[in-house]
Amino acid sequence: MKLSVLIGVFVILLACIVALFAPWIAPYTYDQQDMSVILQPPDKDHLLGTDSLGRDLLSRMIYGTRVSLSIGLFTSLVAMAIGTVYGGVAGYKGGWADHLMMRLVDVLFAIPDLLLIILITVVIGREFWGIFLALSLVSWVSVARLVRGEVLRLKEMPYIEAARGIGAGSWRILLRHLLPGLRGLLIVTFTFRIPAAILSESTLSFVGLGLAPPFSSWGVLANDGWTAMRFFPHLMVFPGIAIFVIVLACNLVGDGLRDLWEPKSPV
Amino acid sequence: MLLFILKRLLWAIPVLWLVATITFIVMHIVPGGPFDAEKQLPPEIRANIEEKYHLDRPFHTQYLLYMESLIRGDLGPSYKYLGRSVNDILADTFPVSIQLGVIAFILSLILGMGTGLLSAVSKGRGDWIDKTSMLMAIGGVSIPHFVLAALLILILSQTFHIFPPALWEGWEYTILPAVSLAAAPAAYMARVMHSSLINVLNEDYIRTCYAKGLPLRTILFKHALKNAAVPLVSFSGPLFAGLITGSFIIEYIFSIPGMGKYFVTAVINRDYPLIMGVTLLYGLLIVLANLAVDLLYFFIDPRIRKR
Repeated sequence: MKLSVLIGVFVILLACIVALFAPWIAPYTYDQQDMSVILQPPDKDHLLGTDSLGRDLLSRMIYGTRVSLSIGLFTSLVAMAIGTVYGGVAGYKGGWADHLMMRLVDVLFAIPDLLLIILITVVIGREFWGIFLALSLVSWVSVARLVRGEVLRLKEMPYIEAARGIGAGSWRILLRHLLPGLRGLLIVTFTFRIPAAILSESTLSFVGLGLAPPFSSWGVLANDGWTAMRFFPHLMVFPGIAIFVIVLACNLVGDGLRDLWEPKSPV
Repeated sequence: MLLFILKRLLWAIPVLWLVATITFIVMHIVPGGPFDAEKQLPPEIRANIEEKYHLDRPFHTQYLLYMESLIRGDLGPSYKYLGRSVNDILADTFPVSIQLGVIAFILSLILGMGTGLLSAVSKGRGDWIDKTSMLMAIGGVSIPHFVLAALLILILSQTFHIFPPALWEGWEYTILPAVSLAAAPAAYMARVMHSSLINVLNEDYIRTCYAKGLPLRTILFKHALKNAAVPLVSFSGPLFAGLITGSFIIEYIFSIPGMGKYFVTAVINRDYPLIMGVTLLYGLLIVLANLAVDLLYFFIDPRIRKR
């Protein structure tokens, strides 16, 4: 195992523990206001300082870990599921069905993600579920493309032909023979989707179009900090670093997994 | 060749039509309308406004009216920037976005290919160059561009006053936004370039080059680079389109009067024609960028030319 992968795994595990045990780890609650200590730079009472309502930034970031991580994890899962089924069916069926399905993907590609996300959140709201659904519904497209390409390649392989030769049905070939062949690609894509989803959520929240209060993902915190960055840089810098570190950790692990399963593929 | 280009350009028409239709439908099934925010509006005035913009008509009539004017090349009036047409707004803001996008694109191309080349060549010779540059590359992929932008502003403009923190008034204003925008794609390209060049350098024909006694420079730039660049080409097409139009956040952070900034406010304001205009332009750029990629393949890879 490479050192970088170990570091990545360690950081991710740490983040998961922080997220799970947030109420026990955080020194304050995420919404506890203390007007006597507003906009303090980091000191020993408030390790990362306080915001304009006197809330402890460290505690808000610890609770933010929950939001950022679960958005990353769940949107990636849904995107993977939709993308795998869609791409798998298109690639396996081939012919006009494939053509039609992929043209739809082309069209979705040509519509800016931001527009779709915002419009979806207008319909279902900017609560956790709204952002989660919106991000999942736009990010399956690239998964579908990858899966289709791989299925196209795999289904010409002799072992699939052999399975068909002994009379296996479509479903059996899809589930028992093609899906295991896709395992490497799926795991690697999944690990890279998580940081991408965390990035999308934080970017969205940073422009003020993401999660509505009282949720405090790291992107929301960075957005809060941005307006006052000139005088209180800590409010922007710490959440920014948190996003960077977790995304970096996921990417390191993803790199390691890719070397393991698909040593030949480029980045 | 000409036939190929013509066919692809014709194919763009149905794609754009679908993009327009889907966007139009999605925008209109979303509850609420562009003039809902102004609650003070008396009903008569509101009715007048809606009549002026045909918002009182049934959905399919609105659609047909829009498509009709679209064919004439008229993107309609903006609902929020009164007295300005969407064509005007795009004509004003698009050049700014193009400028920023092109600078960022060139920057990421030079940085990415340069770093990838350097690290791949130094693999085995000066391993630390290879390692540090790849570490920087994975860091560059991981840092969100708004965090990078904020850090750059904090350090280079607020602490050391080297570059202006916002606006768009001369070349010194372009540096920080272009760097923040280019960092991630540059890092990605460096990674792709690195692994693809290493693969190419292990091929037999490169060994032949070495055996012939060619200098490293000739081997790299004349023989290896062309093949190693193939995966980069397919990435750079959508990247170019994305950099030109997708700089929403960077334009927002640096208050750059480009298309992205208008797009965000347009979506929030439900300025239907402006949203449609930006989306269509974006779609058109994607289609053109993909066409450019396919044409580039023609020149780089003779095997594709034969098909």
